[in-house]
Amino acid sequence: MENEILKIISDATRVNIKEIKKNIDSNNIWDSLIYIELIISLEDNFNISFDESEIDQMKTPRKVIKCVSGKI
Amino acid sequence: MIREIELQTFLFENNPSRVELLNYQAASCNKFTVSVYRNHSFELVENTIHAYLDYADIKVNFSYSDYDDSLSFLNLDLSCDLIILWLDISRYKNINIDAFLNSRIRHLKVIFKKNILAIPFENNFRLSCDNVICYDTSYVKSLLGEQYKDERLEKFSGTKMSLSTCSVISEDLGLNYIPAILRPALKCIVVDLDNTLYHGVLGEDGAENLTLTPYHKQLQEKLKFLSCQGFFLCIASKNNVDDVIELFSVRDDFPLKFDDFTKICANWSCKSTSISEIINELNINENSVLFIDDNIGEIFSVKSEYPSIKVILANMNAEITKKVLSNFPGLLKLSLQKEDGIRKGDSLANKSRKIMLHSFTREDYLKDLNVELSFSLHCKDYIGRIAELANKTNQFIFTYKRYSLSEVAALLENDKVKVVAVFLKDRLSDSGLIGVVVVRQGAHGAILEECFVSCRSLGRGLDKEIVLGAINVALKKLSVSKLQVNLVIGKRNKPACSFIDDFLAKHKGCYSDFEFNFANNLLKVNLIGV
Repeated sequence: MENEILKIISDATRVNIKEIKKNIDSNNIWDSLIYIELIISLEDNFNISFDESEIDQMKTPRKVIKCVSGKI
Repeated sequence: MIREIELQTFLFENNPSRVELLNYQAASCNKFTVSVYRNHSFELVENTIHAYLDYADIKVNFSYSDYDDSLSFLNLDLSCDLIILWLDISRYKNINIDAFLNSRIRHLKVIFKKNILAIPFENNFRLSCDNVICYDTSYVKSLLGEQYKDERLEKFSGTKMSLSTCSVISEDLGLNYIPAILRPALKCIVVDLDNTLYHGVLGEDGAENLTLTPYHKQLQEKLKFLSCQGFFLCIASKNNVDDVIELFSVRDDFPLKFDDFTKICANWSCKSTSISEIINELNINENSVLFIDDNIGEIFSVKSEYPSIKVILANMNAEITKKVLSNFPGLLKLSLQKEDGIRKGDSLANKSRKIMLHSFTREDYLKDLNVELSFSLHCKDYIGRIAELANKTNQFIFTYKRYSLSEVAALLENDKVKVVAVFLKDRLSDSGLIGVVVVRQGAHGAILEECFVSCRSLGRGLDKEIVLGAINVALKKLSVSKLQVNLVIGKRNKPACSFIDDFLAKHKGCYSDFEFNFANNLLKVNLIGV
C-alpha cells in the first residue's frame, strides 16, 4: 500500500521515490498546485474522498500515507 | 510510427490520466505566447494542455497577470498572440456585470489589437464587443453536473473550478479553440471509403452488404456538417468509380450523398496520386488537407509524399474516429462567413472555367463569363471574412501581415489607411469577397502594406484587374499617385512574387508613379464607397 501511495506521489510531483522517502517529513516536496493534482490522483486511484480538514493536514508524504491508509 | 498517429492513440484511445498529461513532453517548434488575464487560477488548465496543443503542432508559452478583479490591464504583455480573459464571474457582487465587463473589454481592445478570448466561469455575461470570442463554459456544467465545482480545494488551487472542469476545458482549448485562433483553418478533408465511412469492402461485399453502424452514421453526419461549413470533402479510394457511384445511389441510409463531395478519386493508383489530383484541382496546399484512412500503410505512403498533410488513422471503432474528427485542430470555425457556404459551388464552377479558358481567347472567355468585379471601401460588414482570408492565404499574399479581427477593425477606423475589398462574380458562380488590398498613406505617396487574394479566384486571367484595380481605388481615395510596394518572400507566395515582378516591379521598395485602366468591355466594374 505504502509503495502504491509513494508511486502516486512520485508521478504527481515528478520527484523519484527514493528522494520522497528521504524527505518523508518534509513539507517542501510540492507546491499548492501540484498538491491539488496529488489529492485528485489519490482520490481517483483509491476511490476515496478527502474532506477539507484532511486536505489541510496532509502537508508531508508521511501524513499523506497515514491519511490514505486510514481510509482504505 | 508517425508521431501524430502515436499522439492520436495517446489522446483519444488511451484515455490519459492528468498525471500522464502533466508529464507529457511537447515537441512542436511553432511557438506562440498567450497572456492570461485573470481573477482566478488558470494553471490547472495549463498543466494538461500541452499534449493537446502539440497535436495541433503548437507550442504555447503562457504568461499570467496577478489576480485582478478590477481588470486594470496594467503590466500587460502586448506582444503576445492572444489574451485569454479568465474570469470567475461569481466574484463580482452588486454591480452590473454586463456593463462593467463590456466596458473593460472595450478598453482592452483599444490597447491590444490581436485576438481576445473571454472565458467566464460560474455565470455567463452578455458580450457586446465585436471581434472578441466568448467561450461558453455552461456546456461543461451540463456535462459534469455536481463535479463542475470543487470548493474544498479553492484555498490551494485559487479557483472554485474542479479539476474535472479544468481537464475538459484544457482539452477543448488545446485541440479546438487555441488552434482555431492562432493557426489558419484546414480547407479540405479527403476520406477513404472501405472500413472508414462504413464497415466492409465495397468491391467484395457489394454496396448493399456494407454495414453502417450508428457511429459510422455519426461520422458521416459530422463530415456532412463540415462540408456545409465550407470544407472541401473529397474521396481517395481504391475502388472502381462505377461501384462508388452505385454505392451512393443505392445506400439511402448514408447521410453522405454523392453531391456532398467536391471530387471523387476512385481508382487503383496510389493514394498520393489521388491526393495530388485533389490538391491541384482545388489549388490548395498540402498542409491545409486532412486525410482519413483506416490503413496505416496508406497513411505512411501519403505522409512520405506529403509530409505536411494532416492525417487521422480511422479506427475499427468509428466512435473513436468520430471523436478525433470532432476535435481535430483546424476544423473549428469560430465565425462562419458567407464565403464558407459558397466555396464548394465555386470550386465546381472553376472546372467549367478551365475548360472555357482553353477553348477561347482570353477576351472571349472574359466576355462569355460576364465577369463582374466590385471594389468596395465599405468593409465593416466583412471584417470576419477579411481576417479569415488574411490568415489562410498562403500563395497570393504580399507581406503575411496575418491581421486579427481587431486589427482589421482598427485599419478600417484609420483615416490614413484605405482597405479595398474585391468581390467577384460571373455567370457560373458568386465567389463573394476574394481579395483585399491595404494601402497606407506614406511620406511621399502611398505604401501597399498588404495584398491577399483567394486561391479560388486565381487562374481566371483576372489577377491583374483584381489587384491593380483595387490599388487604383485606394490611391484615388488617398489622392496620391505614387506607390511603393512591400514584399515579404515566404515559403509559398511565389505567385505573389511573380505578380509583383510582372506588374509592380518599379514600385518594389521605392515610390513610383502608378497608372492603371481597366480594359474596355471585358468585364463589368462596380465601385462602392469610392
